[in-house]
Amino acid sequence: MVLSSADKNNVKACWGKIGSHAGEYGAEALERTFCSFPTTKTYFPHFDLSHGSAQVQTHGQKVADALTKAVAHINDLPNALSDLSDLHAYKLRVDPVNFKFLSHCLLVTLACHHPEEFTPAVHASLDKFFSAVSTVLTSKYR
Amino acid sequence: MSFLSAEEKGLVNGLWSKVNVDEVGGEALGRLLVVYPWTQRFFQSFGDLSSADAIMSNAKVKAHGKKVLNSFSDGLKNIDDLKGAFAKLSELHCDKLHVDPENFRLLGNVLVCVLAHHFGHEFNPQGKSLGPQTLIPGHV
Repeated sequence: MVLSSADKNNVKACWGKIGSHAGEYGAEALERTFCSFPTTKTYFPHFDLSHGSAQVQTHGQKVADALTKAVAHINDLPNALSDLSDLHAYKLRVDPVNFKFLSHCLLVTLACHHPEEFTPAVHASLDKFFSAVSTVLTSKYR
Repeated sequence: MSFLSAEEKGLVNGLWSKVNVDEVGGEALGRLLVVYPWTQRFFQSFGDLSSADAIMSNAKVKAHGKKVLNSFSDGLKNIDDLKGAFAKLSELHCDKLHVDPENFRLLGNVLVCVLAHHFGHEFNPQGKSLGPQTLIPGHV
């Protein structure tokens, strides 16, 4: 699956509108993931996962910053995300199914906060983008 | 046997009572066909599905979406016996329509996105967590 130029424009425009809220949305998406898909909590035994946790907020910001970088380098995701790809493959080893859960929760979070932007076409582009990022992050698993 | 607690059932029914089932159905099915275009394979007789706008304004898509979501509503009324409630539909989708169950998961996820889109901040993580749990057993 390939990101068309329309997809790339949709993603850039949407992410641009999110602006400085990206960290907040990253944290919310994580909270939603832990709530809806409790098996994901197994990767964070060292975290306080209660609502409003500072660790989740910090991690949400980290995830958001990585996505912001991905958006900025949307034409070359494998290079831009190479270090993160190594991290996930050799150190974190998060099962690939979990990227789908987080991607879904990111979509839900954006739908809640930006109903005007979340048209069907943008929804499709974002889903493809998150899928592309997930593919890169799991590309070195085996 | 119920997979939802009494509190969860309350949350789901509370949210569902505010849903415009007819409209949300059409939107969810439309978005399914836009976001996951391979699902269009089941709807070759539906006419113009050539663009997002065409899909979202397609009368057959809206009508069918309404039908699908009304079935969900029926399911919610029989939440303690989903298997029984969906037995006939299950046979239809398996033996006649030959729909890969993965498609039910995709529709469930899209429906959750549509509800989030409509309810915004009201769609808190607790309410949201009931989406996949409730909808996935629909593919009994």
